[in-house]
Amino acid sequence: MTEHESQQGCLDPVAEHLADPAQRLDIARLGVWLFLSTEVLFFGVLFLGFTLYRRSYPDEFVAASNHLNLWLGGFNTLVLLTSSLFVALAVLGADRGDRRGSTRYLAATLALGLVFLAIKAFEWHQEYQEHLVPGLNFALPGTDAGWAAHEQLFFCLYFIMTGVHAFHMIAGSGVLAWLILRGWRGHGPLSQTESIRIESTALYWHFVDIVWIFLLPLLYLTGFN
Amino acid sequence: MNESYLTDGGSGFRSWLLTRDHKRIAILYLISISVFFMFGGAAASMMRAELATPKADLVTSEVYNRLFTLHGVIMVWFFLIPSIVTVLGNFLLPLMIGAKDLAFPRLNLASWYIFVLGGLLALYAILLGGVDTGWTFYTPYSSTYSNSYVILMAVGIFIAGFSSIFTGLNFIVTTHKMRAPGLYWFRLPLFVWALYSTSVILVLATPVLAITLALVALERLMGVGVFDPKLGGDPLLFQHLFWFYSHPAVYIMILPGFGVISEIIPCFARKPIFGYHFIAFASIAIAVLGFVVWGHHMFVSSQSLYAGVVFSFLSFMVAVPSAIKVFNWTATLYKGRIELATPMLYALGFIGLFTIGGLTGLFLATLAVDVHLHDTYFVIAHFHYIMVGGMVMAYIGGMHFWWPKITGRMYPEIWGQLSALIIFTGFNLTFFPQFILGYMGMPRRYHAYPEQFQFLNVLSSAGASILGIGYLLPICYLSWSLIKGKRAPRNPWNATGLEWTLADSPPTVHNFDEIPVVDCEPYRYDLPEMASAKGDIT
Amino acid sequence: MKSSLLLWIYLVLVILLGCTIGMALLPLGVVIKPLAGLLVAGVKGGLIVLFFMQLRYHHGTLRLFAAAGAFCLFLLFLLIATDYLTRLWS
Repeated sequence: MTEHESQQGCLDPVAEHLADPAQRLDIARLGVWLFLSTEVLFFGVLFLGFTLYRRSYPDEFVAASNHLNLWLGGFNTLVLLTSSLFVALAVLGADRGDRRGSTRYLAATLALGLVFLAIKAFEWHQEYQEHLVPGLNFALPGTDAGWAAHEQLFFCLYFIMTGVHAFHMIAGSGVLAWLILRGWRGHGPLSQTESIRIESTALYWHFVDIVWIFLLPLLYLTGFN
Repeated sequence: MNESYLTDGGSGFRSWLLTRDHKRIAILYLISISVFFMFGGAAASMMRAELATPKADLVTSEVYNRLFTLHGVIMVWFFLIPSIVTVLGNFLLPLMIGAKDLAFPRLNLASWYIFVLGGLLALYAILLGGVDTGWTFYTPYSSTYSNSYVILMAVGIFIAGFSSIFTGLNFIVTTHKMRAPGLYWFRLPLFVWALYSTSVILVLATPVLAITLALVALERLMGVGVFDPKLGGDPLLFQHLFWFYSHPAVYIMILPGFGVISEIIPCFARKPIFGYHFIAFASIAIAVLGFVVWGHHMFVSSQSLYAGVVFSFLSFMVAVPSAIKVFNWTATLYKGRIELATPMLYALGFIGLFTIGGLTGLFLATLAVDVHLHDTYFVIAHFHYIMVGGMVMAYIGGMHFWWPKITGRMYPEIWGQLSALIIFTGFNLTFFPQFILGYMGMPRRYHAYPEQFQFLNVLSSAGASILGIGYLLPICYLSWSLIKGKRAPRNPWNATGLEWTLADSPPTVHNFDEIPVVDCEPYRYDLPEMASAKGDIT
Repeated sequence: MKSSLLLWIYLVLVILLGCTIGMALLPLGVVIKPLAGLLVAGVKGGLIVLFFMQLRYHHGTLRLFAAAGAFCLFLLFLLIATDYLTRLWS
C-alpha cells in the first residue's frame, strides 16, 4: 500500500464513518500536511548536519562545492519548478473533474520528474568518475589528509541528501505513474476519491520540490568565487 | 446476546488480519506487544540472575552487553512506546469521541503490519546474535567498531518508527475532525487529551530518530559517514539527534499513562476530576517542553557547559506540568468516596511511584549531582520508577479498567487486587535498592561489581522474581476470564464517558447505532445517580 | 483559483532561480552568499506553499499542521546551537 493511498480516508462506499464529502476532503488534507511536517523533520536533520559541518570546515566545504556542476543543478531546479507548475495545473483540472486534462498534466509532471532523475544520475556518474564518492572511491590527490577528510564529509552529506531526495522523487514518480494509469483507464468525470488522490500526490510533489530548492544553494552555491 | 465486534464480521484469520475495525486492530497490537514484553522480560530475568552474584559467573561480558541492549530495545520500542497508545488508544479513541472509527482505518491496519515487520527484523537481529551497543547506539562504537547486527536492528527500529508516525497522524486527524456534535475540546475525556499530546510527539519526534538511525546504518555500510571522527565528524552530533527523539519518547510512554490515571481516579473516588483544564493544558505543555530538554542526557558527554545549564533549567521546567497533574489527582482523591477496586490500586500505586521517579529526575537534572550519578544505577532506578512503576502500572490498571468493555467479561476481583499488591511489592523491592546502589557508585551496564554491593543486588534480584510472578498472574486470570469470567454489563463501574454510557460491552462493530450528541461536561460523578460504582466488585 | 495565477507565480519562481544562479557567480563573500541564497530559497518555497499548495486559501488548523514541523525543527536548531556555539567558551 503506498503512503499516499493509505492517507485517503474512507474511499469505498462500505465504510460509513466518513459520509460527508467536505469532511473527507478536509481529513485527507490534514493527513497529508501532517505527514509533510514529519518529512520536514526527516530532511531537516540532514540540513542541520550540513550547517554544523559547514560552520566547522568552511574552506573545505567551499572547495568541495566547487566540484559540483552549478549549471546542471540550476537546470534541474528549473525542471522541478516546471513540474510543480504542471502538477498544480493537474490539481486545478481535477477540481473541475476534468479527467483528460489533469491526467495529461500529471504525465507532463512525471516526464519532468524522470528528466530530473536522469540528470541527477548523470551528475552522480560524473562525480564517481572524478573519484568523489565516499566509501567507494573517494580520493583527492594533491591535498593533505585532514583537508581531504573534511571535503569527504561534504560529499557524504551531498550524496546522502541528494540520495534521500532522489528516493522521494522515485516514490513520487511511482505514485504519479499509478495515478496516470488509473486516470487514463477510467471514464467520465473524476470522482472525489480520485481528485483527493491527485491533490495529495501534488502536495507531496511540491514538498519534494521545495526540499530541492533549499538543497540548491546549500550544496551548489556554497562554492564559487 | 448481541453480535459484537468480536464475532460480527467473521472470526477466521482473514477477517482479523484484514480488518479495518480499530477495536480488532487494538487486539492485534495487544497480542504483539505482549509477545515482545515476554522477550524483554526474559532478558531482564537473565540480567538480574547474573547480578545476584558479584562475579561474572552466569554470562560473559559480551553476552551481558547483548542482553541489556535487547532488554532496552525491545522494551522501549516494541512495548512501552506502543502499549497504551496502540492498545487502549486504538480501542477507545473513537468510542470516547463518539465516532465509528478512526480517520484512516486502512492506515491503522498498515501501522500494525509495519510494526510487526519492524519487530520481526529486530527479533531476527537478536536471533542472529544481537547487538551490544546498548539501546542508545552511541557512535562511533555503533557506527564503526561494534561487531554485531547493528544495521539489521536499526532497520527494524526504523520501520517500526513509521508505525508510530502513522498512528499519531491518525489520532490527531481523528480528534480534530471526528468528534461527535457537542463534544467541544474541553468536554473531551482527559485520556483523549493525553493521546493527542502523545500523538504530537509521535509525529514530530520519530522522523528524527528514523533519519539518525539511517545515518548510522549507512555509516556502517559504507565505512564512512557523518559521525566519524576520522573525517572530522562529531560523535556528539549523534547523541544530540538520538536524544532529541528519545527524550520526547519517554513522554510518549508516560503521557498516555497519565491519561489512564485521569480516567480511573475520578471513577473510583466518585468525584469529578479536580482541575480539568490544568490537566489538559499540562498534557500539551509536557509535549512541547519535552522537546527542549534532551541535553540532560549529555551533561558529561563533553557538550558545552553553557548548553548544559540551559538544558538543566528547562528540565526543571518540564517537571512542573507533571507535578500539577499529581496535585490534581491528589486533590481529586481528597474527600472522595474511595473504592479500592483493582484499577484504583494500580492508579494509587502509580501516583506514589511516579512521584518518586519524577523527583529523582530532578536530582539527575541538577548538573553537579548528575556528574556523580550519571551512568549509575541511580539513573536506572529513576527511569524504571517512571516506566515500570508508572507506565506499566497505568497500562495494567487501564487494561483492568476497560477489560469489561473490551472483552465483555469481568475478571475475578480478588485476584486483581492480589496481583496489584504483589506487583507493587515486587517492584519496590527490585528498584529501590538500585537508587542506593547508584548513589554508592555502582555503574550501569556492568555485570560484575564489588562485593559490598551484593546485598542490595540480591534484594533487587529477589524483587524481580516477585515482580515476575506479579506479571504472570494477570496474564493467567485475564485469559481465564475470557472463557469463564462473568459477562460484563454495559457500565460495570458506573463510569462517565461515551464508551461506558452508550457502547455495549463489548461494542458492536460500528460502536454506536447513531452518532451521539453530547450536551454535558465530563466526569459528572457529582450527580446523585453516580454516587457509587455499582457493579461486580466482590 | 485561476491557472493564470499559477503561471504568473511560476514566472516569478523562474526569475528568482535566475537570481540564485546569478548570485552564485557574484563575489559576495563567504557569509553573505549562502545566506542570500537561502533567503531567496525561502521566498521560492513560500510562494510554492502559499499558491501551488494553496495554503493561502486554507483554514487555520491546516496552517498549524503545516507549520508544526518547521517549528519543531527550529527548536532543534536553536538548542543544538547552544552547544556548538558555546563549546569553546570555557
